[in-house]
Amino acid sequence: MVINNSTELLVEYINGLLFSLVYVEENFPFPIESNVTLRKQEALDYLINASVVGNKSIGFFHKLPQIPLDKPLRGGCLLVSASLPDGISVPTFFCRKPDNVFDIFAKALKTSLDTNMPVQIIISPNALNSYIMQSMPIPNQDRVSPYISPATFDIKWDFKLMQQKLTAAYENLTQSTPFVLSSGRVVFEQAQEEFPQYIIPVVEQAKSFSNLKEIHTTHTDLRFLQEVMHRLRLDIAVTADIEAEEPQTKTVLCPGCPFVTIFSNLDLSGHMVLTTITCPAVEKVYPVHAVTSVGYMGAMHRKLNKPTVFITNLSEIKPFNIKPHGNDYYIVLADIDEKGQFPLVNAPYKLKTLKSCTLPYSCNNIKRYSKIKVNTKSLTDESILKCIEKTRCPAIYSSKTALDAHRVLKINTALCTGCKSCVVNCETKALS
Amino acid sequence: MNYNIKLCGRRSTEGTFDKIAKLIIESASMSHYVVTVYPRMALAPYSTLMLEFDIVGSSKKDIVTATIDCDNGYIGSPVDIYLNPDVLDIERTDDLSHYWGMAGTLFKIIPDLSPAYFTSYLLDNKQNKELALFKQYSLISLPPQMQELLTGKR
Repeated sequence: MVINNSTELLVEYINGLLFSLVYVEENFPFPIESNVTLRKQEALDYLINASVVGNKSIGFFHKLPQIPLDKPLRGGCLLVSASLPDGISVPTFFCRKPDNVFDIFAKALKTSLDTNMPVQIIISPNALNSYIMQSMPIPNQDRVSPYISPATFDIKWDFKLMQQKLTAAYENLTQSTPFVLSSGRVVFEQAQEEFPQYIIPVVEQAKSFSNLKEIHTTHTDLRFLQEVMHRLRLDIAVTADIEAEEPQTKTVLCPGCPFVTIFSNLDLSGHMVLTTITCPAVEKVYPVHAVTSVGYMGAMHRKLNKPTVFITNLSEIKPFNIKPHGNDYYIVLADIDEKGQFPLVNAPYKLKTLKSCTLPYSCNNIKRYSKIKVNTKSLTDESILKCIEKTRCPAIYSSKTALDAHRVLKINTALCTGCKSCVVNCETKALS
Repeated sequence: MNYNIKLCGRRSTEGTFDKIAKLIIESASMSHYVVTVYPRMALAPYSTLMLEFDIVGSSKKDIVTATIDCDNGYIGSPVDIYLNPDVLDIERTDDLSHYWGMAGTLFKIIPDLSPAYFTSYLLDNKQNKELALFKQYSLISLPPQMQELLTGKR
């Protein structure tokens, strides 16, 4: 009996499809190697333009931004995400079960090649982290040679042709995978509820929903389903009256996470914290708001009513536009070795006053410092639990067995980066 | 009897969590249980993963719910049996070898499962420390209130 992890098999399958370009957004929990380090919007342009000349490309995103549709593609382009997108301007497939994950990827790639458009695949945790007994099918290894001509980047979409291609792709799909929703309970992440298998943005697909009088869903899925109804010109009311599933495990951040250092040391309660770094775990734990680097510059054109702190990577800084107003600050994370615009903080755990500065590390450039020493005598059970709760670091943990009078704090030396966030958060000063 | 088992832990380079999940599916399937796995998405690379196993052995509606929480990461709703390293007096380790001890307790919750798949895997791979832990905790007694609950449901 051979049981396979669906993630491992999917990685093998994707490698077998021979994509010329693979992009994985920072902190996306999928173990596949990225060819490039770029921000989300830039990566999207990069992948799409690579496909315009005939490369096969794939990208993994926490959440997909709006997909630009100005040029037809020669090579396939798959854009994979773990959460529902805001819009559906391109064909979209939903992968919710581990047993059809390969089938979905194959169909999505075929649809991308047939329609000359990028295709979105939204993959649920159930499909991504599961275990299956099937083996990997043989991936389609067709490749198109990259080709450029004076007209390549000048060709624009003919919208009539685009509609024809989408309609043809929809008809192909309905022959092999027809579906009609019937229950009215439509939830993406709850495997027991229904969800569309694909959305091709053509009006003909309205018949997949024709049995429904109204749709009940969760707040998380509401916006997306309303967008689908609008796109398919359907007059079906969508109501968010189903409870989303509660998280069942604690949120843990990466060891050495720069956000832990920043929020542990500085009082940012009077500031709006804006960041270019997209990490769902950080967004869940800290009050940060996502913004692009250029977007921030635009927002800061004139002084705002509330002071801001902008956290970004050094590689994303646009030097010509750095003009912090009175109480606005930049905290720059050194993801590259170039000298920053702001003073470098050598010991970030000593940073006590809010000022524009550069930290010596970032999410993908974690520095290792000397290990943490624990003075177990001065620790109390309460202080240990508080420290673990505040740092959310996987390298620090406690245990208490029947033989122990008190809880014992331990440091996983393999994971600890020595960032000293736990030192800052320890009330009893037992860590150093 | 039917079981809903939640296994919480984290992935590591050694692949311990993954291997244990596969061995649970294999052990239960080979004992003629129908096994369905419901994984939960990890938000970040080091987040605690949770796998929910529905292990169905009868058409009765009785179900035992249990959580084997290898790293004290569970915050979900209460279950019939909750086991973590503190409850079991098992020392947490950096190399996650204590996960094998935690996995051993599954055979106290589902007594008609055969531990042979686990033991043969550990023997084949010469993981003697892990095998000792697994054996030790597959023979322990669960806390009395949990045993009573299991007896009552059976």
